Amino acid sequence: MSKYKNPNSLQTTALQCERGGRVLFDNLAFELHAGEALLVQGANGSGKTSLLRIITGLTTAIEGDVLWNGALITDDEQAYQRELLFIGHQAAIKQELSVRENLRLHYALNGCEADSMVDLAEKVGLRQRLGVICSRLSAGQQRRVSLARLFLSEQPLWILDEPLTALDVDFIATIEARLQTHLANGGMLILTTHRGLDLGTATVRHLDLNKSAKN
Amino acid sequence: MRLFLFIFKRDMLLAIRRRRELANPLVFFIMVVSMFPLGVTPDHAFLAELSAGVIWVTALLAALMSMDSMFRSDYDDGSLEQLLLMPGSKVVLIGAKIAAHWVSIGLPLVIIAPLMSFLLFLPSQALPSLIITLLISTPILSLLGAVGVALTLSLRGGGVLSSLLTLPFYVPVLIFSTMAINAAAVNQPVSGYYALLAAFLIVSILLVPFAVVAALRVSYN
Repeated sequence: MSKYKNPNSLQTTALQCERGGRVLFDNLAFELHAGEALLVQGANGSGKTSLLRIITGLTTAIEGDVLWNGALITDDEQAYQRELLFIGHQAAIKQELSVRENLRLHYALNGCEADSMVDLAEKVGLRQRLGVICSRLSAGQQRRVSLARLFLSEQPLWILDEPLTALDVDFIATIEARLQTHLANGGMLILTTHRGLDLGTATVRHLDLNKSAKN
Repeated sequence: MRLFLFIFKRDMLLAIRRRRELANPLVFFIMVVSMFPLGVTPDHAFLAELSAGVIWVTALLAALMSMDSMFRSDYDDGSLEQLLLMPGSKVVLIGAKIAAHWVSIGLPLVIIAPLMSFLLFLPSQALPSLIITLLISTPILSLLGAVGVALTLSLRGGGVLSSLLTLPFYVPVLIFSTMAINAAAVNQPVSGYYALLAAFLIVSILLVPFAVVAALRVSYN
């Protein structure tokens, strides 16, 4: 059932993060295995985005390590980053480019050929909008362009920061279905969200940053 | 190499879409240089003496004011994170971004500068050295500017700070370039200046991408 070579695991040990002289979280440890999801919760400013960035390796924690399959992610950063898909809370699409051009960038980011672009646009409901410059799209449509990467991704570890912002109910259901497939295939998921999310039968772990905060 | 071409093409496409923003430094350059004879004196001999300095200082400032565009919009909309997480060497990625910046900002300056030099009566025997110094040195400006911009990305209003950081490193480039042009104007040998500038360029090409990768890491922390 697992489409990934070996069952992956992600582990953190005693992570500490500081922003502007304030400790956001301390001694944060969790483990995540293939097919599991981690739901990071917490109030605004509790360090959710910082945590996700630490897990991607973009930021380094003051203390503590992130381990991918038992090895430090800094040991072979490139190999690790090949295994993960990160979609931040900013849409990361270029406003000056058309939907088609942005999707083409997605393909390139994923390192594959842009052969099924119309299908991809169909999946995110933007088939009629392929030629439109992204700055003319609504916030929700821009988010759809950004989330189109989920339908291309072959990476086992998905890290999503507030993926559901500005989406309509129909598309949230599409994304939920996609996340469920990913987990059923043995993928891993870490996400922050302020609203409920139906992840089906997958094991969902919860991480509440309010509890691990130190004032 | 594929990564380099991909980033280069992406940035060039974006630069073309942002033509107006791109024209800014070029228009600044043309305006300042053409105001000079009006504001100072239309005297040939006097302007000829000033011309190398004026063209170079203006080109340098025009380049400086465009530096922020190298990473700013990618940082603000989150695409820079995505690029940094891309499979492949980060050094190549940064190199490609700097190269695209030079082609879209530096190269137009190199092309327009000879035209502007006629306005300031630059001696004709100095024209080749003007073009050569600009050709060697504008890439240095883009490279050094990239470090300053990368270091100050996470600061609001980092533009001023990054200019202050970068400007001292621009000074040697300015000095050797104008010295070369002035030497050429009086028919003295100039190859020594070219060699120095070229050495500066090579060292920058070799070191700057690594420095920028490190600086971006600081900005994201």
